[in-house]
Amino acid sequence: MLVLLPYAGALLFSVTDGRLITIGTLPRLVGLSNFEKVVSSTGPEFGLVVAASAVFTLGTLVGSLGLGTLLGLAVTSLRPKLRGPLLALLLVPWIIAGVVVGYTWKLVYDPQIGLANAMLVPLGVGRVAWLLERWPAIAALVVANVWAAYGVVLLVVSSALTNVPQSLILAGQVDGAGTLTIIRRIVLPNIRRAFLLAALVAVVSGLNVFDLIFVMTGGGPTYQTETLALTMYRLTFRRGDIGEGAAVTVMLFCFSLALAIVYVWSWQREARKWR
Amino acid sequence: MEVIPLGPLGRAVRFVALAGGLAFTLVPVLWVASLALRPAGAVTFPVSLLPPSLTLENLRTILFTDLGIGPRPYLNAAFYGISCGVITAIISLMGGYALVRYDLAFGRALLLVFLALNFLPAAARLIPLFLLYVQLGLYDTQLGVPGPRRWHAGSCCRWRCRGCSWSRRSPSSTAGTRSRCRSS
Repeated sequence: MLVLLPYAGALLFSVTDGRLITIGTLPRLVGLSNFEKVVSSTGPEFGLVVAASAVFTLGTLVGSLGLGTLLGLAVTSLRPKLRGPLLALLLVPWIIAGVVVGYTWKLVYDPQIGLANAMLVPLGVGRVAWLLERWPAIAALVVANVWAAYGVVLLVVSSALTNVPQSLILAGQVDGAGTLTIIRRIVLPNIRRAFLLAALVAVVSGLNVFDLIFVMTGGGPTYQTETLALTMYRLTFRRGDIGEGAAVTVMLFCFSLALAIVYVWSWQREARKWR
Repeated sequence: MEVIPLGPLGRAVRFVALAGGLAFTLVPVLWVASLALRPAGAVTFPVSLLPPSLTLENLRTILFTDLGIGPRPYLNAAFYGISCGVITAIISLMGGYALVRYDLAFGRALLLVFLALNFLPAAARLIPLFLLYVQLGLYDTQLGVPGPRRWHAGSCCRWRCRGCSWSRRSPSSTAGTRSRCRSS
């Protein structure tokens, strides 16, 4: 009840004409017109927002899964004494609050004093306005979010790697398999379930991000980096249209529910294989 | 013992991967720390990773002068963090235990909903919680601060508590439940 109450509220408001300025009065039912308005919106186009959300989520998925798995493989192949301290260092970004991550990377991308531009100077490249154009801004946001999110993938993958039966790896070695073959044929298939969870966490960390984008670009320049979560915030708290904001919330909820169902279904299918 | 045995080339690749990963992870943090520890006026392009000289002047200004923020944000964070932790732990433990102890017909569906809720951005709870807070008079009060975070953490923790309770469930307890034993 406690958990579902806010969502029930969002569902209810998504079919009303509720506005912030008339917050004390009972809103009227308007059916699905809020959803229609959101989908047919032109400032910015809904497709632009969905595309930004999709690219951002996909970039986060590929980046954090790739980096997390690579570092997971590298860390678990070290001696146990070295693993702990190294993991602790690599998990530093994961424990930092989203807003702090946002301000850190905003400083890194600053055109005047930023580290990103300072690193380009020795290469003979001029200053880049990282957060002022659509694709450089989305790429910059993806890098910042991968930095913040790959830690959980690393944690999941490295804990799964330690559970891979050593006898299988030794058997592979005896049969003459090289390191790459062992990784591809023995290690990765054995951590498939953990990989599924890590992929899901990466998708969620891409889809969920609000604070990082809000701090770094605020959805700008001119809505070019606005994701669904930011659209919801803008519609509700800047335009004062609670109904339309709630409609975006419901869309996000349906997508998340679909993701959860796919995850549980594939997890159960994997579990059945191992029984 | 190494999980994956590596040859010389594999060790070189591992070294490069770890060095690159550590640089990507730590350089932004160290760079921001170096900005905080360098004297005012020493932040000119291109800003070096290491400060020309170290000073605690910026931290002193922030914490102990009228220009700074003082200790209030840290006290707020402590209040916020501790109250969120305690409230979330209590409610999630109760919810997670109930879900695993009693074989509810809708238990699996409820867990799926909790999982889906955990995937939602915290911003998605803003509208109903904002309206609820305005109605309850909790908006813009210190007492209301832990609430939104608790709502966000609650579903996730309940899912984990359920998983944890399930893995700790002893065979005798399961057998008792199957034999229609009561929890008392």
